[in-house]
Amino acid sequence: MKILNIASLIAATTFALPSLAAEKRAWVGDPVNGSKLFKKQCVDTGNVNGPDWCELPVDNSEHMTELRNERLYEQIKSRKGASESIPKLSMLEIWDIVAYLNTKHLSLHHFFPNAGRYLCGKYTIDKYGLKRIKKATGKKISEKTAHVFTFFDMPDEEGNLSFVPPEPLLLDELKKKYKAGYLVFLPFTTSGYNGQIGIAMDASGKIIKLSVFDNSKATKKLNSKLAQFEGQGKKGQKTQFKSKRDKKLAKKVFEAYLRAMETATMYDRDENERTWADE
Amino acid sequence: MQLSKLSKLMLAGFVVSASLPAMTAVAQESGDSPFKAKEKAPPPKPKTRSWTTIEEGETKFSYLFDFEPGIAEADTLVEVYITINELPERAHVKFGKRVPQKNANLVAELFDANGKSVGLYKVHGIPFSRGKYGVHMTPSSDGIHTIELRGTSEAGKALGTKVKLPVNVWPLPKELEGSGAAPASNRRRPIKL
Repeated sequence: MKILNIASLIAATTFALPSLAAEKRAWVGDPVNGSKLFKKQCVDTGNVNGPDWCELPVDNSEHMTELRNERLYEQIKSRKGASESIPKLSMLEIWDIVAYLNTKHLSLHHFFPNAGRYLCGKYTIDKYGLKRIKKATGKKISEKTAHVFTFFDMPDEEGNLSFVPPEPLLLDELKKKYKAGYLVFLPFTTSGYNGQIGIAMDASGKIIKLSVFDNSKATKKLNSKLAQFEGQGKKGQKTQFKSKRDKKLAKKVFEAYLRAMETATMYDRDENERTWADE
Repeated sequence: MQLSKLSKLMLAGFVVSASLPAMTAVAQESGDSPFKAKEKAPPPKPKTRSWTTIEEGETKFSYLFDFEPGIAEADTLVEVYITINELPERAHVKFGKRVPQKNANLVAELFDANGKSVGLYKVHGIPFSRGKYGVHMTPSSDGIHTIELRGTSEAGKALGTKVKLPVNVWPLPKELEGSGAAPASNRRRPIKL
């Protein structure tokens, strides 16, 4: 029997429906039924193999948002790695599982609820960016690569977020004037928390939102502390963030922010190469 | 002493007539006549239930909802299939009086018995079907819920309707009995000259 990651087991046993009032966006399926199906497909399988998708890191916001609902649907539909005795799922049941898995991590519209389109790319900070980070923080970072999600506020597409594949004609429609900002998910550790943080910045690098996945009193408390840094930051930021209440947290947030900002700068470099002839 | 048959009959009649006032008194106390036919137990809950709504705006649309189970239970999955047809004034060349609406963009919002929104679900088109869509939902409380369906057709026309979803309500109230509105027949008739 495949060993499920601990996150999946925890996901199956503890489930509370997220509040609808907080973000009025349609679920792609019924997460309540998805929770039951997830348990049948991945947890209560006895001695047989569950499908490969059961081993997805569902609490990894970067991985799951990069995967996207459509690809996740195809992965579940393929039943790859599943034994014959694992029951097949109907179309609506697969969407229920996708909806359930979406409740286990941060979502893109949590940070940019009004955006119409977004791009996603993996970028590595170049040597100049690494130098700037070392100068500002005094530390050398080991992990230089991250996914950058770039959002665009397209006219008449407010809130109807859709992914833009890297096709030249489609990329050409994403003018700089429509750019809403960037989102980067990074590992984040502070007292009482060890997980991921989502750092959302506007086009100038100013922090719009800082958030960890809210699933406990501790994370709720941390999110309220992180809110104090919203509005700080800009591209080329060199000075540390200020916090009267929590200097340690300010230092941690600053380090994460610099890494996010420099990674987003790598996207800007690509975008400039693509759009230099537009102006 | 052996009673004759006639004596036995007379004795039985005397017993019945003696107890009649008592029976009537009991019946009157409970409000029921002892001679009233016993009320039938409600029939078993249906496995499926259908309901049709018709909405008239710029364009007339019919929405056929198929629910399984027929009467939902709290914390149990309800499977809802919706077939959407446009009802044109002039019969369509291919589809007649019911034109299926494919590739519509739809959401279904579930309101509980108190009118509070408890779920907003994307409605998915059923592959290889004509104008048929499906959605799953799990109501968490009893009572008569409401499903509000809304969206746009492939041609950009506004779609929307409301339907009641009784959860653990049986037998149904009168207004929810039957199958809702009846769209125009799509039966082909001989051409009248």
